[in-house]
Amino acid sequence: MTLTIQIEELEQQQQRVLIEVPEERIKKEMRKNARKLAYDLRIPGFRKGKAPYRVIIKRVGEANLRAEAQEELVQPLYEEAIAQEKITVYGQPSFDDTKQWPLRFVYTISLPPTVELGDYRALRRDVDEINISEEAIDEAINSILEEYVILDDVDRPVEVGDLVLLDGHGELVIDIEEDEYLEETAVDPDEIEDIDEEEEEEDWSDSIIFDEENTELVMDSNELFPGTPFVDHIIGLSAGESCEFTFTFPDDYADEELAGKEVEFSIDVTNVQSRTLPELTDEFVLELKQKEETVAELRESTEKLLIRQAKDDIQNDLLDALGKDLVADATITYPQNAIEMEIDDMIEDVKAQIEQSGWKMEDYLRLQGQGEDEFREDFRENATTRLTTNLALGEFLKQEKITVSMEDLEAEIEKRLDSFTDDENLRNSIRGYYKQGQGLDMISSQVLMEKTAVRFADILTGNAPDLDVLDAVDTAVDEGEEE
Amino acid sequence: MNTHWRNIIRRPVVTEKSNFQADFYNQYTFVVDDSANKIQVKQAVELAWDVAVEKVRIANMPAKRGRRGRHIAIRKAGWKKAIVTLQAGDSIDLFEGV
Repeated sequence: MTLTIQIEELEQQQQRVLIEVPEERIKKEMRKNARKLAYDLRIPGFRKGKAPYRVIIKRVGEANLRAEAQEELVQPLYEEAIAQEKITVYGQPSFDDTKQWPLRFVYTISLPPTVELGDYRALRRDVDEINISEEAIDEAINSILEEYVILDDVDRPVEVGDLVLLDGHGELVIDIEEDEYLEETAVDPDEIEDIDEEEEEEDWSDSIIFDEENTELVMDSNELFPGTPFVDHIIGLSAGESCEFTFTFPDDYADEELAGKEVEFSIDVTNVQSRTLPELTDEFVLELKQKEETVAELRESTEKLLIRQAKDDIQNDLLDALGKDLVADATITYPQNAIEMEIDDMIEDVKAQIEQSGWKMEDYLRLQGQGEDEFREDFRENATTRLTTNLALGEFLKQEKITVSMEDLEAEIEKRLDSFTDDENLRNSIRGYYKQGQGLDMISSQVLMEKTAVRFADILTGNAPDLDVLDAVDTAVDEGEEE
Repeated sequence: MNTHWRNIIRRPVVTEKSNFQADFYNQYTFVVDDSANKIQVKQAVELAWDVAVEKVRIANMPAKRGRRGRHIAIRKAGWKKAIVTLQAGDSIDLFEGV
Protein backbone atom coordinates (compact mmCIF):
# COMPACT_ATOMS: atom_id res chain seq x y z
CA MET A 1 0.00 0.00 0.00
CA THR A 2 1.52 3.31 -0.97
CA LEU A 3 1.23 6.34 1.18
CA THR A 4 0.43 9.81 -0.05
CA ILE A 5 3.43 11.92 0.79
CA GLN A 6 4.16 15.59 0.31
CA ILE A 7 7.70 16.86 0.68
CA GLU A 8 8.66 20.49 1.14
CA GLU A 9 12.26 21.58 0.95
CA LEU A 10 13.43 23.71 3.86
CA GLU A 11 16.68 25.54 4.39
CA GLN A 12 19.84 23.92 5.68
CA GLN A 13 19.36 20.42 4.36
CA GLN A 14 16.03 19.94 6.02
CA GLN A 15 12.73 18.75 4.63
CA ARG A 16 9.20 18.92 5.85
CA VAL A 17 7.39 15.69 5.18
CA LEU A 18 3.61 15.43 5.24
CA ILE A 19 2.20 11.94 5.30
CA GLU A 20 -1.46 11.36 4.72
CA VAL A 21 -2.80 8.86 7.21
CA PRO A 22 -5.04 6.28 5.52
CA GLU A 23 -8.32 5.86 7.39
CA GLU A 24 -8.14 2.08 7.28
CA ARG A 25 -4.77 2.17 9.01
CA ILE A 26 -6.29 4.01 11.93
CA LYS A 27 -9.22 1.63 12.07
CA LYS A 28 -6.88 -1.31 12.03
CA GLU A 29 -4.78 0.19 14.78
CA MET A 30 -7.89 0.92 16.85
CA ARG A 31 -9.06 -2.67 16.59
CA LYS A 32 -5.63 -3.90 17.56
CA ASN A 33 -5.58 -1.66 20.60
CA ALA A 34 -9.12 -2.60 21.59
CA ARG A 35 -8.17 -6.27 21.50
CA LYS A 36 -5.30 -5.57 23.86
CA LEU A 37 -7.46 -3.42 26.08
CA ALA A 38 -10.09 -6.14 26.40
CA TYR A 39 -7.72 -8.17 28.50
CA ASP A 40 -7.38 -5.42 31.08
CA LEU A 41 -10.93 -4.16 31.23
CA ARG A 42 -13.61 -5.69 33.44
CA ILE A 43 -16.79 -5.51 31.44
CA PRO A 44 -19.91 -7.01 33.06
CA GLY A 45 -21.29 -9.88 31.08
CA PHE A 46 -17.98 -10.77 29.49
CA ARG A 47 -14.95 -12.73 30.53
CA LYS A 48 -11.67 -10.85 30.22
CA GLY A 49 -10.51 -10.53 26.67
CA LYS A 50 -13.85 -11.74 25.32
CA ALA A 51 -15.67 -8.46 24.90
CA PRO A 52 -16.31 -7.59 21.25
CA TYR A 53 -14.97 -4.42 19.64
CA ARG A 54 -18.37 -2.69 19.73
CA VAL A 55 -18.60 -3.12 23.46
CA ILE A 56 -15.11 -1.87 24.12
CA ILE A 57 -15.49 1.15 21.92
CA LYS A 58 -18.59 2.07 23.84
CA ARG A 59 -16.77 1.67 27.09
CA VAL A 60 -13.53 3.47 26.25
CA GLY A 61 -14.88 6.08 23.89
CA GLU A 62 -14.15 6.21 20.21
CA ALA A 63 -12.22 9.50 20.41
CA ASN A 64 -9.81 8.13 22.98
CA LEU A 65 -9.20 4.99 21.05
CA ARG A 66 -8.64 7.01 17.91
CA ALA A 67 -6.20 9.41 19.53
CA GLU A 68 -4.19 6.54 20.86
CA ALA A 69 -4.15 4.82 17.51
CA GLN A 70 -2.93 8.02 15.85
CA GLU A 71 -0.11 8.40 18.28
CA GLU A 72 1.01 4.87 17.68
CA LEU A 73 1.07 5.36 13.94
CA VAL A 74 3.51 8.30 14.06
CA GLN A 75 6.63 6.16 14.08
CA PRO A 76 5.67 3.29 11.72
CA LEU A 77 4.17 5.60 9.11
CA TYR A 78 7.34 7.67 9.14
CA GLU A 79 9.45 4.60 8.60
CA GLU A 80 7.25 3.41 5.75
CA ALA A 81 7.35 6.81 4.10
CA ILE A 82 11.12 7.01 4.32
CA ALA A 83 11.43 3.56 2.80
CA GLN A 84 8.93 4.43 0.09
CA GLU A 85 10.62 7.68 -0.91
CA LYS A 86 14.09 6.22 -0.41
CA ILE A 87 15.23 9.22 1.61
CA THR A 88 18.50 9.01 3.49
CA VAL A 89 17.86 10.66 6.81
CA TYR A 90 20.54 12.13 8.99
CA GLY A 91 19.99 11.84 12.70
CA GLN A 92 16.63 11.82 14.39
CA PRO A 93 13.52 13.26 12.73
CA SER A 94 11.14 15.39 14.70
CA PHE A 95 7.40 14.91 14.67
CA ASP A 96 5.92 18.37 14.54
CA ASP A 97 2.22 18.33 14.13
CA THR A 98 -0.90 16.78 12.74
CA LYS A 99 -3.06 18.48 10.15
CA GLN A 100 -6.69 17.70 9.55
CA TRP A 101 -8.82 16.91 6.50
CA PRO A 102 -7.32 14.74 5.42
CA LEU A 103 -5.43 13.71 8.50
CA ARG A 104 -1.73 14.23 7.89
CA PHE A 105 1.35 13.86 10.03
CA VAL A 106 4.03 16.53 9.70
CA TYR A 107 7.66 15.67 10.31
CA THR A 108 10.86 17.62 9.88
CA ILE A 109 13.75 15.51 8.76
CA SER A 110 17.38 16.35 8.23
CA LEU A 111 19.29 15.26 5.19
CA PRO A 112 22.95 14.29 5.30
CA PRO A 113 25.29 17.26 4.96
CA THR A 114 26.54 18.06 1.50
CA VAL A 115 30.09 19.07 0.83
CA GLU A 116 31.38 20.76 -2.27
CA LEU A 117 35.09 21.18 -2.12
CA GLY A 118 36.81 24.10 -3.76
CA ASP A 119 39.60 23.65 -6.24
CA TYR A 120 41.96 22.27 -3.67
CA ARG A 121 44.01 20.60 -6.38
CA ALA A 122 45.20 24.02 -7.47
CA LEU A 123 46.81 24.74 -4.10
CA ARG A 124 50.55 25.13 -4.32
CA ARG A 125 52.85 25.60 -1.39
CA ASP A 126 56.25 24.50 -0.20
CA VAL A 127 56.23 21.46 2.01
CA ASP A 128 58.80 21.27 4.78
CA GLU A 129 61.40 18.68 4.06
CA ILE A 130 62.78 16.38 6.65
CA ASN A 131 66.24 17.61 7.33
CA ILE A 132 68.10 16.33 10.34
CA SER A 133 71.37 18.14 10.87
CA GLU A 134 74.40 16.69 12.61
CA GLU A 135 73.96 19.31 15.31
CA ALA A 136 70.44 18.16 16.02
CA ILE A 137 71.72 14.63 16.54
CA ASP A 138 74.50 15.91 18.76
CA GLU A 139 71.98 17.80 20.82
CA ALA A 140 69.72 14.79 21.19
CA ILE A 141 72.63 12.63 22.28
CA ASN A 142 73.77 15.35 24.64
CA SER A 143 70.42 15.27 26.36
CA ILE A 144 70.90 11.54 26.92
CA LEU A 145 74.32 12.27 28.42
CA GLU A 146 72.75 14.96 30.63
CA GLU A 147 70.72 12.27 32.34
CA TYR A 148 73.92 10.54 33.41
CA VAL A 149 75.73 13.73 34.42
CA ILE A 150 78.44 13.28 37.05
CA LEU A 151 78.22 15.71 39.99
CA ASP A 152 81.21 16.60 42.18
CA ASP A 153 81.34 18.90 45.20
CA VAL A 154 83.94 21.59 44.50
CA ASP A 155 85.51 24.18 46.71
CA ARG A 156 85.69 27.11 44.31
CA PRO A 157 83.61 30.03 43.16
CA VAL A 158 80.60 29.28 40.96
CA GLU A 159 81.27 28.89 37.26
CA VAL A 160 78.90 28.75 34.36
CA GLY A 161 77.28 25.31 34.13
CA ASP A 162 77.70 24.44 37.81
CA LEU A 163 74.92 23.06 39.91
CA VAL A 164 74.38 25.45 42.80
CA LEU A 165 72.46 24.72 45.99
CA LEU A 166 71.02 27.98 47.27
CA ASP A 167 68.38 29.80 49.27
CA GLY A 168 66.93 32.75 47.47
CA HIS A 169 64.27 35.37 47.61
CA GLY A 170 63.18 37.67 44.81
CA GLU A 171 60.63 40.42 45.07
CA LEU A 172 59.33 43.04 42.67
CA VAL A 173 60.15 46.57 43.68
CA ILE A 174 56.71 48.08 44.32
CA ASP A 175 55.85 51.43 42.97
CA ILE A 176 55.33 53.57 46.06
CA GLU A 177 53.17 56.10 44.27
CA GLU A 178 50.54 53.48 43.65
CA ASP A 179 50.30 52.78 47.37
CA GLU A 180 49.80 56.43 48.16
CA TYR A 181 47.18 56.71 45.52
CA LEU A 182 45.25 53.96 47.22
CA GLU A 183 45.24 55.68 50.57
CA GLU A 184 44.17 58.97 49.07
CA THR A 185 41.20 57.56 47.27
CA ALA A 186 39.87 55.66 50.25
CA VAL A 187 37.33 57.74 52.23
CA ASP A 188 35.98 55.79 55.15
CA PRO A 189 38.71 55.26 57.78
CA ASP A 190 37.49 51.70 58.48
CA GLU A 191 37.59 50.99 54.84
CA ILE A 192 41.13 52.22 54.59
CA GLU A 193 42.16 49.65 57.09
CA ASP A 194 40.34 46.91 55.25
CA ILE A 195 41.70 47.89 51.92
CA ASP A 196 45.20 48.20 53.26
CA GLU A 197 45.12 44.74 54.67
CA GLU A 198 43.69 43.23 51.58
CA GLU A 199 45.94 45.09 49.22
CA GLU A 200 48.97 44.29 51.26
CA GLU A 201 48.20 40.64 51.19
CA GLU A 202 47.64 40.70 47.49
CA ASP A 203 50.79 42.65 46.85
CA TRP A 204 52.63 40.23 49.03
CA SER A 205 51.78 37.18 46.95
CA ASP A 206 51.99 39.02 43.64
CA SER A 207 55.29 40.69 44.15
CA ILE A 208 57.29 37.66 45.22
CA ILE A 209 58.54 36.01 42.09
CA PHE A 210 61.11 33.72 43.62
CA ASP A 211 61.21 32.17 47.07
CA GLU A 212 63.11 28.91 47.47
CA GLU A 213 65.11 27.14 50.11
CA ASN A 214 67.74 24.53 49.30
CA THR A 215 66.97 24.58 45.65
CA GLU A 216 69.40 23.27 43.07
CA LEU A 217 69.89 25.42 40.02
CA VAL A 218 72.08 24.86 37.00
CA MET A 219 73.90 28.05 36.15
CA ASP A 220 72.73 28.39 32.59
CA SER A 221 71.72 31.90 31.51
CA ASN A 222 69.63 30.44 28.71
CA GLU A 223 67.41 28.68 31.19
CA LEU A 224 67.37 30.85 34.31
CA PHE A 225 65.64 34.20 33.78
CA PRO A 226 67.00 34.41 30.22
CA GLY A 227 68.00 37.87 29.09
CA THR A 228 68.67 39.07 32.66
CA PRO A 229 71.89 39.31 34.63
CA PHE A 230 70.57 36.84 37.26
CA VAL A 231 73.16 34.14 36.58
CA ASP A 232 75.98 36.67 36.18
CA HIS A 233 75.37 37.89 39.74
CA ILE A 234 75.74 34.42 41.21
CA ILE A 235 78.82 33.47 39.25
CA GLY A 236 81.93 34.03 41.28
CA LEU A 237 80.29 33.39 44.66
CA SER A 238 81.61 30.55 46.79
CA ALA A 239 79.72 28.24 49.12
CA GLY A 240 78.60 30.16 52.22
CA GLU A 241 78.65 33.52 50.47
CA SER A 242 75.57 35.59 49.80
CA CYS A 243 74.66 38.61 47.74
CA GLU A 244 71.85 41.02 47.02
CA PHE A 245 71.18 42.62 43.68
CA THR A 246 68.49 44.29 41.65
CA PHE A 247 67.81 44.36 37.92
CA THR A 248 65.02 45.23 35.54
CA PHE A 249 63.42 42.64 33.30
CA PRO A 250 63.75 43.52 29.62
CA ASP A 251 60.57 44.89 28.01
CA ASP A 252 60.33 41.91 25.68
CA TYR A 253 60.62 39.35 28.49
CA ALA A 254 58.69 36.14 27.77
CA ASP A 255 56.54 36.47 30.90
CA GLU A 256 54.48 39.58 30.26
CA GLU A 257 53.70 40.01 33.94
CA LEU A 258 57.36 40.63 34.63
CA ALA A 259 58.47 42.48 31.51
CA GLY A 260 59.88 45.91 32.33
CA LYS A 261 59.57 45.38 36.10
CA GLU A 262 62.36 45.96 38.56
CA VAL A 263 63.21 43.11 40.89
CA GLU A 264 65.27 42.72 44.04
CA PHE A 265 67.03 39.45 44.81
CA SER A 266 68.89 38.10 47.81
CA ILE A 267 70.77 34.83 47.36
CA ASP A 268 72.65 32.59 49.82
CA VAL A 269 74.84 30.01 48.18
CA THR A 270 75.08 26.80 50.23
CA ASN A 271 76.97 24.42 48.00
CA VAL A 272 78.61 24.28 44.60
CA GLN A 273 78.86 21.18 42.43
CA SER A 274 80.56 20.80 39.11
CA ARG A 275 78.71 18.94 36.39
CA THR A 276 80.66 16.72 34.03
CA LEU A 277 78.97 14.92 31.18
CA PRO A 278 80.05 11.29 30.81
CA GLU A 279 82.21 10.54 27.82
CA LEU A 280 80.40 9.15 24.83
CA THR A 281 82.02 5.76 24.33
CA ASP A 282 80.86 2.30 23.31
CA GLU A 283 81.00 1.31 26.99
CA PHE A 284 78.65 4.14 27.91
CA VAL A 285 76.23 3.08 25.17
CA LEU A 286 76.34 -0.49 26.48
CA GLU A 287 75.50 0.74 29.98
CA LEU A 288 72.31 2.31 28.68
CA LYS A 289 71.12 -1.30 28.21
CA GLN A 290 69.26 -0.42 25.03
CA LYS A 291 69.29 -2.19 21.70
CA GLU A 292 72.24 -0.13 20.51
CA GLU A 293 75.74 -1.34 21.32
CA THR A 294 78.09 1.20 19.78
CA VAL A 295 78.25 4.96 19.47
CA ALA A 296 77.64 4.69 15.74
CA GLU A 297 74.49 2.66 16.31
CA LEU A 298 73.26 5.15 18.88
CA ARG A 299 73.76 7.99 16.43
CA GLU A 300 71.95 6.07 13.76
CA SER A 301 68.94 5.23 15.91
CA THR A 302 68.81 8.77 17.28
CA GLU A 303 68.70 10.07 13.74
CA LYS A 304 65.89 7.66 12.94
CA LEU A 305 63.98 8.84 15.98
CA LEU A 306 64.44 12.46 15.01
CA ILE A 307 63.36 11.74 11.47
CA ARG A 308 60.23 10.07 12.74
CA GLN A 309 59.43 12.95 15.03
CA ALA A 310 60.00 15.45 12.25
CA LYS A 311 57.82 13.38 9.97
CA ASP A 312 55.04 13.32 12.56
CA ASP A 313 55.29 17.06 13.03
CA ILE A 314 55.15 17.72 9.32
CA GLN A 315 52.27 15.29 8.96
CA ASN A 316 50.30 17.00 11.71
CA ASP A 317 50.96 20.41 10.21
CA LEU A 318 49.86 19.16 6.81
CA LEU A 319 46.66 17.67 8.15
CA ASP A 320 45.87 20.84 10.06
CA ALA A 321 46.51 22.94 6.99
CA LEU A 322 44.53 20.55 4.82
CA GLY A 323 41.50 20.82 7.07
CA LYS A 324 41.66 24.60 7.12
CA ASP A 325 42.28 24.94 3.38
CA LEU A 326 39.45 22.60 2.49
CA VAL A 327 36.96 24.26 4.79
CA ALA A 328 37.95 27.72 3.58
CA ASP A 329 37.07 26.92 -0.03
CA ALA A 330 34.29 24.44 0.47
CA THR A 331 30.56 24.95 0.43
CA ILE A 332 29.22 22.86 3.25
CA THR A 333 25.54 22.64 4.02
CA TYR A 334 24.49 20.76 7.08
CA PRO A 335 21.31 20.56 9.11
CA GLN A 336 21.13 22.04 12.56
CA ASN A 337 20.97 18.68 14.24
CA ALA A 338 24.38 17.78 12.85
CA ILE A 339 25.87 20.40 15.12
CA GLU A 340 23.83 19.21 18.05
CA MET A 341 24.99 15.66 17.44
CA GLU A 342 28.57 16.85 17.29
CA ILE A 343 28.14 18.69 20.58
CA ASP A 344 26.59 15.60 22.10
CA ASP A 345 29.64 13.64 21.00
CA MET A 346 32.04 16.12 22.51
CA ILE A 347 30.15 16.31 25.77
CA GLU A 348 30.08 12.54 25.89
CA ASP A 349 33.87 12.54 25.62
CA VAL A 350 34.30 15.12 28.34
CA LYS A 351 31.83 13.28 30.53
CA ALA A 352 33.71 10.03 30.11
CA GLN A 353 36.92 11.79 31.09
CA ILE A 354 35.36 13.38 34.14
CA GLU A 355 33.77 10.19 35.25
CA GLN A 356 36.96 8.27 34.74
CA SER A 357 38.68 10.56 37.19
CA GLY A 358 36.05 9.70 39.76
CA TRP A 359 33.89 12.81 39.45
CA LYS A 360 30.26 13.16 38.72
CA MET A 361 29.10 15.34 35.85
CA GLU A 362 26.75 17.34 38.08
CA ASP A 363 29.51 18.08 40.59
CA TYR A 364 31.81 19.20 37.83
CA LEU A 365 29.21 21.57 36.45
CA ARG A 366 28.54 22.99 39.89
CA LEU A 367 32.24 23.54 40.39
CA GLN A 368 32.40 25.37 37.09
CA GLY A 369 29.35 27.37 38.09
CA GLN A 370 27.75 26.45 34.80
CA GLY A 371 24.39 25.08 33.89
CA GLU A 372 24.05 22.26 31.41
CA ASP A 373 22.95 24.72 28.72
CA GLU A 374 25.88 27.08 29.16
CA PHE A 375 28.19 24.11 29.16
CA ARG A 376 26.69 23.03 25.84
CA GLU A 377 27.06 26.49 24.34
CA ASP A 378 30.77 26.45 25.15
CA PHE A 379 31.17 23.60 22.72
CA ARG A 380 29.22 25.15 19.88
CA GLU A 381 32.06 26.93 18.16
CA ASN A 382 34.45 24.03 18.41
CA ALA A 383 31.77 21.65 17.29
CA THR A 384 31.17 23.71 14.18
CA THR A 385 34.84 23.67 13.30
CA ARG A 386 35.15 20.00 14.01
CA LEU A 387 32.08 19.13 12.01
CA THR A 388 33.02 21.16 8.93
CA THR A 389 36.59 19.93 9.04
CA ASN A 390 35.55 16.32 9.32
CA LEU A 391 33.01 16.67 6.54
CA ALA A 392 35.53 18.35 4.25
CA LEU A 393 38.19 15.76 5.01
CA GLY A 394 35.72 12.97 4.43
CA GLU A 395 34.87 14.39 1.02
CA PHE A 396 38.54 14.81 0.26
CA LEU A 397 39.18 11.13 1.01
CA LYS A 398 36.30 10.18 -1.23
CA GLN A 399 37.41 12.34 -4.14
CA GLU A 400 41.00 11.32 -3.82
CA LYS A 401 40.00 7.71 -3.38
CA ILE A 402 42.20 7.27 -0.36
CA THR A 403 41.49 4.03 1.40
CA VAL A 404 43.36 1.74 3.71
CA SER A 405 43.74 -1.83 2.56
CA MET A 406 44.63 -4.85 4.65
CA GLU A 407 48.06 -4.90 2.99
CA ASP A 408 48.70 -1.32 4.06
CA LEU A 409 47.87 -2.24 7.61
CA GLU A 410 50.06 -5.32 7.63
CA ALA A 411 52.99 -3.39 6.24
CA GLU A 412 52.58 -0.73 8.91
CA ILE A 413 52.30 -3.29 11.69
CA GLU A 414 55.47 -5.06 10.58
CA LYS A 415 57.28 -1.74 10.37
CA ARG A 416 56.34 -0.94 13.94
CA LEU A 417 57.25 -4.38 15.18
CA ASP A 418 60.73 -4.12 13.65
CA SER A 419 61.53 -1.03 15.65
CA PHE A 420 60.02 -2.50 18.78
CA THR A 421 61.14 -6.01 19.51
CA ASP A 422 62.62 -9.19 18.05
CA ASP A 423 60.80 -11.51 20.43
CA GLU A 424 58.52 -13.57 18.21
CA ASN A 425 55.96 -14.29 20.94
CA LEU A 426 55.60 -10.65 21.79
CA ARG A 427 55.41 -9.79 18.11
CA ASN A 428 52.54 -12.19 17.64
CA SER A 429 50.56 -10.85 20.53
CA ILE A 430 51.04 -7.30 19.28
CA ARG A 431 49.93 -8.38 15.83
CA GLY A 432 46.80 -9.78 17.42
CA TYR A 433 46.16 -6.50 19.20
CA TYR A 434 46.37 -4.50 16.00
CA LYS A 435 44.11 -6.85 14.08
CA GLN A 436 40.93 -6.15 15.99
CA GLY A 437 38.95 -3.69 18.04
CA GLN A 438 40.70 -0.69 19.46
CA GLY A 439 44.11 -1.55 18.07
CA LEU A 440 42.72 -1.95 14.58
CA ASP A 441 40.82 1.33 14.81
CA MET A 442 43.90 3.13 15.99
CA ILE A 443 46.31 1.81 13.42
CA SER A 444 43.93 2.18 10.51
CA SER A 445 43.19 5.79 11.37
CA GLN A 446 46.91 6.44 11.70
CA VAL A 447 47.65 4.87 8.34
CA LEU A 448 44.77 6.79 6.81
CA MET A 449 46.09 10.07 8.20
CA GLU A 450 49.55 9.30 6.91
CA LYS A 451 48.27 8.54 3.43
CA THR A 452 46.15 11.68 3.48
CA ALA A 453 49.09 13.83 4.49
CA VAL A 454 51.27 12.31 1.80
CA ARG A 455 48.64 12.94 -0.84
CA PHE A 456 48.19 16.52 0.29
CA ALA A 457 51.92 17.08 0.16
CA ASP A 458 51.87 15.69 -3.39
CA ILE A 459 49.07 18.08 -4.30
CA LEU A 460 50.88 21.07 -2.82
CA THR A 461 54.02 20.28 -4.76
CA GLY A 462 52.08 19.45 -7.91
CA ASN A 463 53.07 15.79 -7.91
CA ALA A 464 49.68 14.26 -7.26
CA PRO A 465 48.38 11.69 -9.74
CA ASP A 466 45.47 12.84 -11.88
CA LEU A 467 42.05 11.93 -10.59
CA ASP A 468 41.38 10.15 -13.92
CA VAL A 469 44.35 7.94 -13.31
CA LEU A 470 43.04 7.13 -9.85
CA ASP A 471 39.72 6.21 -11.42
CA ALA A 472 41.46 3.91 -13.83
CA VAL A 473 43.41 2.24 -11.05
CA ASP A 474 40.22 1.84 -9.10
CA THR A 475 38.38 0.07 -11.86
CA ALA A 476 41.41 -2.07 -12.61
CA VAL A 477 41.42 -3.23 -9.01
CA ASP A 478 37.70 -3.93 -9.14
CA GLU A 479 38.06 -6.00 -12.26
CA GLY A 480 40.98 -7.84 -10.81
CA GLU A 481 38.86 -8.79 -7.82
CA GLU A 482 36.08 -10.06 -10.02
CA GLU A 483 38.40 -12.40 -11.83
CA MET B 1 -50.76 0.58 30.35
CA ASN B 2 -48.84 2.75 27.98
CA THR B 3 -47.87 0.46 25.20
CA HIS B 4 -45.06 2.52 23.69
CA TRP B 5 -42.26 0.12 22.78
CA ARG B 6 -39.90 1.77 25.24
CA ASN B 7 -42.24 0.68 28.02
CA ILE B 8 -42.09 -2.90 26.84
CA ILE B 9 -38.40 -3.20 26.02
CA ARG B 10 -36.23 -1.83 28.81
CA ARG B 11 -32.73 -2.43 27.51
CA PRO B 12 -30.70 -5.00 25.62
CA VAL B 13 -28.74 -7.62 27.49
CA VAL B 14 -25.10 -7.24 26.52
CA THR B 15 -23.13 -10.26 27.56
CA GLU B 16 -20.86 -12.76 25.93
CA LYS B 17 -23.73 -15.17 25.59
CA SER B 18 -26.20 -12.68 24.09
CA ASN B 19 -23.50 -11.44 21.79
CA PHE B 20 -22.82 -14.97 20.61
CA GLN B 21 -26.51 -15.59 19.97
CA ALA B 22 -26.82 -12.38 18.02
CA ASP B 23 -23.85 -13.27 15.83
CA PHE B 24 -24.68 -16.90 15.17
CA TYR B 25 -28.44 -17.37 15.64
CA ASN B 26 -29.80 -13.93 14.82
CA GLN B 27 -31.33 -13.87 18.30
CA TYR B 28 -31.40 -10.65 20.31
CA THR B 29 -31.90 -10.57 24.04
CA PHE B 30 -33.72 -7.82 25.96
CA VAL B 31 -34.80 -7.00 29.45
CA VAL B 32 -38.54 -6.45 29.06
CA ASP B 33 -41.29 -5.21 31.30
CA ASP B 34 -42.45 -7.74 33.86
CA SER B 35 -45.93 -7.61 32.49
CA ALA B 36 -45.05 -7.88 28.81
CA ASN B 37 -46.04 -10.94 26.80
CA LYS B 38 -44.52 -12.43 23.64
CA ILE B 39 -46.93 -10.65 21.33
CA GLN B 40 -46.20 -7.25 22.85
CA VAL B 41 -42.46 -7.86 22.61
CA LYS B 42 -42.80 -8.92 18.99
CA GLN B 43 -44.76 -5.83 18.10
CA ALA B 44 -42.40 -3.55 20.03
CA VAL B 45 -39.30 -4.92 18.33
CA GLU B 46 -40.85 -4.73 14.89
CA LEU B 47 -41.86 -1.15 15.56
CA ALA B 48 -38.60 -0.01 17.07
CA TRP B 49 -36.15 -1.45 14.55
CA ASP B 50 -38.33 -2.10 11.55
CA VAL B 51 -37.48 -5.77 11.35
CA ALA B 52 -39.48 -8.95 11.01
CA VAL B 53 -39.61 -11.10 14.14
CA GLU B 54 -39.83 -14.84 13.66
CA LYS B 55 -40.37 -15.87 17.26
CA VAL B 56 -40.02 -14.68 20.82
CA ARG B 57 -39.07 -16.69 23.87
CA ILE B 58 -39.62 -15.32 27.31
CA ALA B 59 -38.10 -16.34 30.60
CA ASN B 60 -38.64 -15.03 34.10
CA MET B 61 -35.28 -14.58 35.69
CA PRO B 62 -35.30 -15.27 39.41
CA ALA B 63 -34.39 -12.62 41.94
CA LYS B 64 -31.11 -13.03 43.80
CA ARG B 65 -31.93 -13.67 47.41
CA GLY B 66 -29.91 -13.54 50.55
CA ARG B 67 -30.69 -14.34 54.18
CA ARG B 68 -30.53 -12.09 57.20
CA GLY B 69 -31.32 -14.51 60.03
CA ARG B 70 -34.97 -15.45 59.71
CA HIS B 71 -35.70 -12.84 57.05
CA ILE B 72 -35.15 -13.37 53.41
CA ALA B 73 -33.81 -10.26 51.71
CA ILE B 74 -33.80 -9.66 48.02
CA ARG B 75 -30.45 -8.47 46.74
CA LYS B 76 -31.45 -8.18 43.12
CA ALA B 77 -34.97 -8.14 41.81
CA GLY B 78 -36.17 -10.69 39.28
CA TRP B 79 -36.71 -9.65 35.70
CA LYS B 80 -38.25 -10.83 32.52
CA LYS B 81 -35.96 -11.78 29.66
CA ALA B 82 -37.05 -11.99 26.07
CA ILE B 83 -34.97 -13.68 23.39
CA VAL B 84 -36.17 -12.46 20.03
CA THR B 85 -35.34 -14.43 16.89
CA LEU B 86 -35.41 -12.31 13.77
CA GLN B 87 -36.10 -13.54 10.31
CA ALA B 88 -33.02 -14.38 8.32
CA GLY B 89 -31.55 -11.25 6.77
CA ASP B 90 -32.74 -8.81 9.41
CA SER B 91 -30.51 -7.50 12.17
CA ILE B 92 -30.42 -4.97 14.95
CA ASP B 93 -27.54 -2.76 15.85
CA LEU B 94 -27.83 -2.67 19.60
CA PHE B 95 -25.26 0.03 19.98
CA GLU B 96 -27.08 2.59 17.95
CA GLY B 97 -29.00 4.98 20.13
CA VAL B 98 -30.24 2.58 22.77
